[in-house]
Amino acid sequence: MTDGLTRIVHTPPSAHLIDILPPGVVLYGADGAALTQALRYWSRKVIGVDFMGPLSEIPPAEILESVDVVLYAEGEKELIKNFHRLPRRRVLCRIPSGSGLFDSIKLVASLNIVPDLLQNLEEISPEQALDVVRYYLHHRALQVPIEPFHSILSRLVLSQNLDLWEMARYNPDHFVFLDAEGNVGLSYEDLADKRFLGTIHQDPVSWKKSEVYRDLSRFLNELPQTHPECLACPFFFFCRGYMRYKRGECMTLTAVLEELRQASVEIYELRELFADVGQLPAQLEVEEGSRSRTANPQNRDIRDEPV
Amino acid sequence: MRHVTLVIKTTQACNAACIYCSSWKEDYTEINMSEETLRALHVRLAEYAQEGDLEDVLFTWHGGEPLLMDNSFYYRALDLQEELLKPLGIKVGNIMQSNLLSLNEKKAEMLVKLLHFHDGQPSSVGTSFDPIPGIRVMKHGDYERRFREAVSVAQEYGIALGLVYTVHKYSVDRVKEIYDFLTSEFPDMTIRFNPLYHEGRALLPEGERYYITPREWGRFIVELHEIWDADDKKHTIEPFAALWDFHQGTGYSLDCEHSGSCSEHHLGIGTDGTVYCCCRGVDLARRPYGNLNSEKLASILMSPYRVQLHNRSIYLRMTVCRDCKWWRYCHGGCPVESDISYGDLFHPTSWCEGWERYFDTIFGSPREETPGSS
Repeated sequence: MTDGLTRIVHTPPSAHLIDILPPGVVLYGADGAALTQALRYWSRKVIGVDFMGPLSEIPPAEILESVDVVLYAEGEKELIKNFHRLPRRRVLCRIPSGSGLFDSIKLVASLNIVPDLLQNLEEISPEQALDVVRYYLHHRALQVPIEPFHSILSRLVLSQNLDLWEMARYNPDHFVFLDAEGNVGLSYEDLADKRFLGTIHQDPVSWKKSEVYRDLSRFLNELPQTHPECLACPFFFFCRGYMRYKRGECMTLTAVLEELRQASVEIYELRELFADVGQLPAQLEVEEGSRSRTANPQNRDIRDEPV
Repeated sequence: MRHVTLVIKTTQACNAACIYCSSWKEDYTEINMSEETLRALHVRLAEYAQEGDLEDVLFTWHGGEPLLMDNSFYYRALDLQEELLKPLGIKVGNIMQSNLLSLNEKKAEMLVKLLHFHDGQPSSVGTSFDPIPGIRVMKHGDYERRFREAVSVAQEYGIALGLVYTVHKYSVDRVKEIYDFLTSEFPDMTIRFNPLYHEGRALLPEGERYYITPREWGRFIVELHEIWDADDKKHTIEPFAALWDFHQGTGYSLDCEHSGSCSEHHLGIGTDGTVYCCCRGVDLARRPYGNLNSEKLASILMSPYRVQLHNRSIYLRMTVCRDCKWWRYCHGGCPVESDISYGDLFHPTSWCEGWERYFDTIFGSPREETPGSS
């Protein structure tokens, strides 16, 4: 990739693709054996695995220990049955929306796996989402973060930059997705819909001429005229129009952000109150290190960014 | 809003008729700020402090010509600050922007009492002057003579002065002449240079001949910086001094025009108590936040217009300013200027070309980013 930008490339475990890529590769797919082979051979390039297959075929845990893992599990039973196959390092699990969502989240969390709702947030009602947020904020026995709430809250408390496009990995400057033929898309969904920027063999500068890229640019450039409500939204600093672009709706996100914003204010005030004491009560500590890295594997560790 | 700078239009009346006056309007609804509105301002600040977090307030008394208001108005303001704000632990400062044409000994005595920063140190009056005839005009009298008399009175009373110079078509090619004149006549003043904005009296047909282009502005500020540099940067020339410190890494505080965060700390108050983003916002009168006489400050600060201003920087950086290497120095420029030029907040300033030329010529490349510098 010759435009000087560092990207995380999501690719199937195909030799002809991985061979030409620089380090910073996330392997994806449902074929555990192929992923295992690719992980062994290109370990220096691979930083993550998005596993979409049956958990009974997930690559061995010892290989997965050194990378960030995202699961697309079918259901709780599968998780329970195959829990022993998972690496000790914390993994993140995309939770599908639907009935029983809250129970799924609680079960996943009890297995020390990080539930992630970001991709399906607008398919959940605001009331359901708030139930989960409040569980995350207040349930004392919870031992893992729930995403995206934890990443959002962490950054609010530390007054760090937030960008939903980045969190959702939908930014061609930083993330691209390849299919088996080397076509480049902005997401797994775009690959499935054959909305390509170009191919991996092209100079990325040429991707800007694609209809997909021009469509995205046009949406952003016209946002003040087409969606003035976005630019008058107090949460634009986070969403930046992403929800309008991808989902059309943002009611659930808005409700979640308001709840997290209030929580961040309370935490901030408590920090001030306890500043002389030097330490917050344990329940209010924002965990650092491996939890925050694993919770958002494709984002930089919040501790990498200066306050 | 912990720290706030208020620009308060005390009156729309003026004893001058400067060709570029941004405050000028064909007709006014309320000429002078009433005592009720002055009190409402202080009450709302006190309310806000009790409900939240207000550490300090800088009152910038403005107009029109603020010295046309009776001294009792400013003494009343000082009383209200003592009565309502200081008991809550709010630090208060006062400065003023005035043409000085009505400055006399009584007014000077009042200013000595009024003008101080949060720490109690004396503050200053910002004023303006132009040596080119016909630009700054007194309605009744000789502008230059009266101005120089007033400067003497100010100096006699120990009142510090700063100078704002507005660059126009008749001065844009006379950079060295203007610099030499201002720095020799007013050697102790901080001098700030602004381009002429297309607003107020400058919108009249006769105003157009004073307009300068962004390219001319760029040429002016490049040449001015070079002259200033050759003069060992002896005088404080803004916005160069702040930009220079920022570029050197010795200062991180850019002026409101370049900070990208003006909405976080600035408010403009019209004579009738209507709140806007800043002084220029009051003059443009296009996007009011609310009115102090009928709403709490907390509610006013949640105005969608204010939110839009806050979001402007984020939006510009995602879009039109995305690839600009000077973003940290500029942040898209003054939003009100964008509103004046394009009717659109979400557009970089029309002076962009001029500033880019300045940054490219004077700085070459941006300073490397360090933690906390953006």
